[in-house]
Amino acid sequence: MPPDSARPELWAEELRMLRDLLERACGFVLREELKFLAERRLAPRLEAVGVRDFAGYLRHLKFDARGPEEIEAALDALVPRETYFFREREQLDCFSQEVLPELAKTNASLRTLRLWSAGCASGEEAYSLAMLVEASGLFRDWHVEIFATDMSRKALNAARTAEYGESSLRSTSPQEIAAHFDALGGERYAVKEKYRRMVRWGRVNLIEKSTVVPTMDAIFCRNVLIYFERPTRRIVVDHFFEQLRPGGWLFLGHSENLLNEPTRFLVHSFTADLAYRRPL
Amino acid sequence: MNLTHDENESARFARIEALPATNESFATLKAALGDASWSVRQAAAERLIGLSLDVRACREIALMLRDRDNTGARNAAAWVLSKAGPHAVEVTAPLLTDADADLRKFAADILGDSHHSGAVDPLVLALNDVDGNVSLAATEALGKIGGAAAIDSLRHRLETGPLISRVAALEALTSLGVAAPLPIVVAMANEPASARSAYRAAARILDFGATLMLCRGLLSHATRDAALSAFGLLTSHSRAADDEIRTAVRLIPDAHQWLEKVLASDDDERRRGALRVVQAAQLTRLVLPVCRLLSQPSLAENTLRALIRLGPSVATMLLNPSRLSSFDEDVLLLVGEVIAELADGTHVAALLTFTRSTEPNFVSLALKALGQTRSKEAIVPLVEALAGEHAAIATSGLIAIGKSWPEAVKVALTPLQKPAMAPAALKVWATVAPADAVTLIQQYSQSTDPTRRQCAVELAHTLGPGAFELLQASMLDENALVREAVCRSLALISPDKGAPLLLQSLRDSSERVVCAAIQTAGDLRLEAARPALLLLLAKAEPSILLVTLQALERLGASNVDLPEALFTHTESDVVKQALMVCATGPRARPRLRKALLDARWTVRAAAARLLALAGSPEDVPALELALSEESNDLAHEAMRSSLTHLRPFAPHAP
Repeated sequence: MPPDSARPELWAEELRMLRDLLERACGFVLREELKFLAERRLAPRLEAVGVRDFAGYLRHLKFDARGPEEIEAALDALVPRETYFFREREQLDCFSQEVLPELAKTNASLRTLRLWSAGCASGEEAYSLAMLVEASGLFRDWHVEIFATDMSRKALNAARTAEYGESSLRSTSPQEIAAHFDALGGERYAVKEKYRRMVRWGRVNLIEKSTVVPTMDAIFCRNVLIYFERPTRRIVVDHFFEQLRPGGWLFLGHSENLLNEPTRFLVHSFTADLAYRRPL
Repeated sequence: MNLTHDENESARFARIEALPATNESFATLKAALGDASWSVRQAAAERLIGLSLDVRACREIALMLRDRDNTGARNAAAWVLSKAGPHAVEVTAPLLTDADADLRKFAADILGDSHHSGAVDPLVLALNDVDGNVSLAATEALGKIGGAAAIDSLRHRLETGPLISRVAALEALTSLGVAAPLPIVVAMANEPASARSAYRAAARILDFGATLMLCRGLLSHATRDAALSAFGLLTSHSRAADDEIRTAVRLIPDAHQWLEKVLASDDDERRRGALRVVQAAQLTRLVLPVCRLLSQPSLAENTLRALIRLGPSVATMLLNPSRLSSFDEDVLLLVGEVIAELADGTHVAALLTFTRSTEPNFVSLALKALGQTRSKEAIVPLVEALAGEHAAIATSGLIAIGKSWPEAVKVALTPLQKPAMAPAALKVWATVAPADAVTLIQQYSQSTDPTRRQCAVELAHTLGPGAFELLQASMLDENALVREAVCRSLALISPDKGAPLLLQSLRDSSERVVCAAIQTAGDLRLEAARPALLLLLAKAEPSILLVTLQALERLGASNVDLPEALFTHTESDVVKQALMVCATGPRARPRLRKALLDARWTVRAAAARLLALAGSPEDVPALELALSEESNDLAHEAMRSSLTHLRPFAPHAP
């Protein structure tokens, strides 16, 4: 039996119109290869708003008074938020061993450290940064602020709850789990309170210039830009440039880089990875 | 403004970015294509493409292709030309006959990247270029553009010439999704230099002989990976093909380990092939590595289908708490779909344990699957779930099971009647015991809770003769949700009786009630509503305009003169719907031809599609003109398809 005989189909034009709507909202590009997943992930939304097909769903997004709310729900369903603690560990090791000691020296007079996890999803990256800063032992009694932002209220809620299962801990050793988490039972773990206190959560749309986020020492925006088109990527990277202090660092995911982007950032090679730096 | 090289790169880049998007910027942007910095060249190229270059401008840029000393400038100019549309094609095509072979090859590459059908004829001539590189570049370019003339030439190319040019032609045909003749493909599979291309081509041939050839390819270590990649392109499924694949896999030493390694690799082509082989050979041991591919957008569909084709034992293997916890939320959604698709009575016990999980995703997955089992044992846990956050899933599951076991569902629901049955339970009750539900529905209609009154209205059609009275009374409800439900429920009772209520609802103070009434009037083809619907076209709200136009379309309104403002409305959906309503009317074709030039691609695409239905050969020139200027791929495709439809009838058709 075909698995999807009664499932509403997202036609090419509808996919394109949905893509345009979502891209305007937050820069996220619903690529054509995501059609299959989009049909499945949005099926419950069609049911929730009471429409039979994607044409009806698009009309709801565009014309219903609850359209903007529903765009958020659609983004929650469509934007991949797969992440885990200590993801891309080699890069985090470089940050920990090469960047943090430098920041400890350059910021010594102000005794302030500000990091931003931009597109933090359910919070694993932000907490990983808190754990690395704490483990470095270089910032005791400093004013350390880790800003973690995302567009999704649902993701931010999960991040604030700070409880995680096996999938989020796939790259975390048993020793690290014992050191940084409290066991909740049933293979679920809560991030220890001292790390939770280090992180501030907020809703930021990366395509809009934020006047609230302060100047940063380092920004982590990993596996986010891959979902944007080039013009949007450029806007977001420009925002990051303005948001960093001179000499500040930008870390991107391994599957994304600025090598093919016109940018004011300089490439900086570490022993085992690379990052981008705002010129001094 | 001149860019000076004593400025730093950031300053030059910023100046390019700051240039206005007008033709006055052309000279500066063209000069910046030769900048020493890649970033500046790239920014300039992007800005130039955005300028809609004319022939003269394209000619100036094409001159840069001759600057052999500046590779950066040449590449940037080539990139601009490949994206600059028909004028760039007009300028680049003559370069295919230039005395400089390097320039001829460059021109073929540019024309291929333009994907423009106007480049096909000159590229076909370039296939016979004396320089082998130019000829190969022309072959590849035709493989990017396609079309009947390109395909004919590529097929012809398969039969003559050196092996390298035949391989290029075969690859070009494969990339266009076109099947090559099987005997040629078989012969090329026997030559090591062309085997990989031949296997890929074999997958496009809908012939059992091609499948046999791929199976033989699996047996040789030298051709195994190429054959596996080809299996990923195979579009047909047959029992005979599966049998052959299974037999071949049995003969491969360590087939499981090899396939597991492929599934964990980054090579999408081979992974797609491995999915096909795992499914055909029923290698259920590989279910977990296969499931991991559900996270890959490019492979998720093939993976889901392969898992479902592996049969119910997959559900048994997946219904394990530690296995399910190892999946991300996105993968879990699809794993749940696999389980729900495959679950049967033998899985009920395992599913029941998941309904008690602390993980909400597992609970919803298990409840969905329980409903799919149509099993009597699934009734009690689904009834228990009616009061919780998964009530909607439990309701659908119970309604499905109620078709096979109505009495058992009724017995399970009976204790819920007192003190008050929840709306979800009442919906199930009304399907398995409509007569017994009457009293409860009437009680609901008097409830202080508007969601219960809404539920009573939604179930009114089960009341028989009492339905209309309930709907009539509920029309006066102070809550818009209840009145909206009345409009929708009127579709389920006699149109004659419902008409006065619907006409009254068209004047409701709530927009959502009005929209629901309009939709129902359309669904019921309620002719009496036509005058009121036409009056609603004077409303400003796009949501009301849209549903009104849809209702009029259902009523058949091609002869109605819609207000002209609708055809130039700011909301493209309104324009499209207005065009659709009048698609067969007397003024339809001039309007559609005008809409082919609308600024919004969705309107242009809709107009093209409607012309295919309502147009005539006289509309062909307008479509051809629109097609030549179309920049959106979907609108382009709609226009091309309409032309194909209209041309055979055109007096001047070739």
